[in-house]
Amino acid sequence: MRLFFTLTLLCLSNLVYAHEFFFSFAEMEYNATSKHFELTIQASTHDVELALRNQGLNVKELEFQTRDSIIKKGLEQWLNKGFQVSSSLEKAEFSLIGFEVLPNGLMYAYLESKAINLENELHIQYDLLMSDFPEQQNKLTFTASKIKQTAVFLPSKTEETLIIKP
Amino acid sequence: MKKLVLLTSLFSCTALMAQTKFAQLDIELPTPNEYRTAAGAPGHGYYQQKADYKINLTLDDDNQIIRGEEIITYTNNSPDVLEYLWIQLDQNLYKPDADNKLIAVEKMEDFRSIGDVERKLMVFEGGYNIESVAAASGEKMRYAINKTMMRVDPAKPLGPKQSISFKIKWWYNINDRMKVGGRSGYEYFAKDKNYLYTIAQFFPRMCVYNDVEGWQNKQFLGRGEFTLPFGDYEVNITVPADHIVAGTGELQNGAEVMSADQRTRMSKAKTSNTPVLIVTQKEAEDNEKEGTKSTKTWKFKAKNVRDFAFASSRKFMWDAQNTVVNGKNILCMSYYPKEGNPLWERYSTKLVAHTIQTYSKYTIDYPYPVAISVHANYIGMEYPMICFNGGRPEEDGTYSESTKYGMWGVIIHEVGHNFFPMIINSDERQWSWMDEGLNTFVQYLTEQEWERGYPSRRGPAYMITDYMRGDRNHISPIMTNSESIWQFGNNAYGKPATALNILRETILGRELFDYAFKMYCERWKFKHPTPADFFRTMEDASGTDLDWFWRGWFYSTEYVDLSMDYVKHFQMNTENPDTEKSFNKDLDGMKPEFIGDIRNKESIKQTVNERDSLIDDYYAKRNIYEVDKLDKEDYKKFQEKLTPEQKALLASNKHFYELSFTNKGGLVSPIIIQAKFADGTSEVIRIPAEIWKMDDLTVTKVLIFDKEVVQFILDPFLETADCYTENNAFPPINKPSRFKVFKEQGNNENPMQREKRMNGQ
Repeated sequence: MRLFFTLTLLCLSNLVYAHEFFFSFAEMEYNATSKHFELTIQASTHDVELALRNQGLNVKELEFQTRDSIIKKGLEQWLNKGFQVSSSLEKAEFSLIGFEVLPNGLMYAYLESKAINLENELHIQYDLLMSDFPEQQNKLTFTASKIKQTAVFLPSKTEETLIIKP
Repeated sequence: MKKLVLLTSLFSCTALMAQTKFAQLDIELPTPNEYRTAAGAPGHGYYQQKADYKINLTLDDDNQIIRGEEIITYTNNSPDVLEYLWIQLDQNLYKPDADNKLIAVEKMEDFRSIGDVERKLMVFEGGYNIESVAAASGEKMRYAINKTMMRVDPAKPLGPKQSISFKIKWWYNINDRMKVGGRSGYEYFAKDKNYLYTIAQFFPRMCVYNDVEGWQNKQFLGRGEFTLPFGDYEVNITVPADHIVAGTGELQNGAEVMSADQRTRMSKAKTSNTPVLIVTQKEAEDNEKEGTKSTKTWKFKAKNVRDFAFASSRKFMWDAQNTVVNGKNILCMSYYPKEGNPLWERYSTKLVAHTIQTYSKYTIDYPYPVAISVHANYIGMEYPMICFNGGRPEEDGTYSESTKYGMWGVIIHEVGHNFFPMIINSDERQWSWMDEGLNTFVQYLTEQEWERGYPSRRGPAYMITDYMRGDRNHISPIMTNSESIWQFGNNAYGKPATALNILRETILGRELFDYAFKMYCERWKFKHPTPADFFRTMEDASGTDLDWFWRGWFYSTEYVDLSMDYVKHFQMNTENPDTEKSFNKDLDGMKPEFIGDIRNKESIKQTVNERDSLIDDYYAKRNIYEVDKLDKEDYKKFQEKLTPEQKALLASNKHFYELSFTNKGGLVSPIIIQAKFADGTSEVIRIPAEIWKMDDLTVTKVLIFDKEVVQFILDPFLETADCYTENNAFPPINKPSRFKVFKEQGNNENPMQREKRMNGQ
């Protein structure tokens, strides 16, 4: 086996950014009328800024870059890489509607998938920020037909399959 | 009969579970003894050790090395004979073969970039180089290093009330915080080729020996911070002559190390209630242009502290102001490079003073003469009287709102740590929540007194719900050792701060809570409290059995999710035939009509009794809603039996509501209900959590009002951390998701940015 590296260099190691956050919460709802997944991802803004810089994006303060199309595109790609959903064999592609940064330092990103059929099983990979912060832990709350399910994602468990109750 | 048995056993199970949730913490808490009482106070036999230090340090700015020689005088106040002494060697965390690196769980996915590999292969030759350990007489002492700890063997066992003095000589390479990380170290500024040192956990420090654990023997693995015995410090720090040094304690030789101008400004600052610059930005910028080979020695003294830390740089600006706590002057100071401005000059010292004031109100009077905030990018870390804080603007001096609040929050938090755990000296290496959680709680109170509506990140109950709800497989009880906690921030900071807020606002009320919390702080200032001491004091001083609360919030991972399942409406039967028969008529008139009856009106043109008048008898012809003579006589007799008060009650037209609740999350909680009336008014009913004491799954409650209720809302003020609020209203309220609200509003522009755009900038 040979290792293939990405070209991005970490400008700061995870040890440098010593703080106690390391979490992300996602709330996703299946809109049965439009057949879209409606997704909100919450994370610590500074964590996201650091992760995007590690991807090579010219991020200063996201709070000032909510209308920057290059940043938005980069953020969208990064979110789609760190949060992946497939129903049956069909993969959901998410578009970033927008994002906002609250004064308390939390960032909310709003995404919507293209139309997709919700089958009996939903496969989710949610390893956002885990390559940047080894202690990262993510949690999803998924709602379909008013039934809520939650799933926790860890560096040692980045994928989860939810059984969709009729 | 079988059914009856089944029901009985089901009831027994439910009752047993409820009794478990409300059972006393007899097994979980240690048995009270002469050292720690059942009331949560230090017992008559309480003791603690003392460790005094005289330290000479040299900071090598050319090679980023620190060299030290220290004399420790250790006093054994315990009733025990100590055959050996244990010392913390926290810097050994940076040894290339340190355990914290070996125990890191890794997978190949962790090596996705060249940077990942570089980081893994990077070797920093950190850790102590112990040159000697010797008795006061100069005779070498035997010692053994056990990773981040060192055992020193006295020539003879140290008996009760005996002291021993010994000398340790050491040095180590200082870590680059930007590459190696860490709570202390240096930051290099490439533009002006200068260093900013924030130095802590830097000298061999005595471990705690006490009645709870004997010698504190948990290795330093990086997360669980530390606890140390109190003592007096005399520390001399030799640095390049152009450096400004901030340190724990009071500067002893200002006349030698400060310029005349600086001393004049300091005199002014000591009587000023707003910050006075001791070193201005211009002076700091001039100072950082050239280095020097000459040195100066800054001398500090600190009494009754559990540690010593300092910061040193030629880049420092320095400002100071006075604040008064209970008649005592406290010098609040900040040290920061120009890179921290404009935020630091404007806010840091004012935040230090505000924090000292607010914490003194809720906990204990701040006992030390100084309180210092030093700017160190990215981190927030606390030591006695001094802390290192992040919050740096962009290079052009602009900053976002979240950076500003982030800087405010970290300064309040780290200065607040003076109280927890620097003075109320809990064991951080064992229980992070005892300092981080309690400190985050008072941080929240302090933020709210700094600015109305301050956007605190932790504290309000509703902010913890994302963390607590749902899948509980990978969250930990608060009562978990610091090194083994899932989601450290939410667990050790957010959840305990929330729990204390709920105790204060909902369970005990502010008066009872504030008294008990302050009592805990007063009892355990300059002592070593444990969780049991906190739990017991809060119960004892508030006069409230809170074992169920500690059990649910601190020993379990259950969450609050109460649902309102149904509401039934009743009114009293007045026995007045005029009222009741008319009511029954109206009620019958409201019943839905069966579809067959509706269609039969059309399809059956005439029934037999409609054709034949001889069919209908008395039963068919009677009017069941008619009030007859006997009805009136019966009512009259009923009225004669009633007292005037009972008559008035019957006439009051009260509304009765039976509400049913299910505890879906498992964590028992008070039930807060808001009843909204048709006239726009409302009433709040607060039911204590003990309503769940016999059945912790389902309870019902009857509420009685003078007016008809149009809606009931559970937890209307978001004070119980109810994780799912969709089931909290009857009739239900449909709230749009955060996604839908954002999509409809569609405006996510930063207000400052919008203002700039509006002004055409």
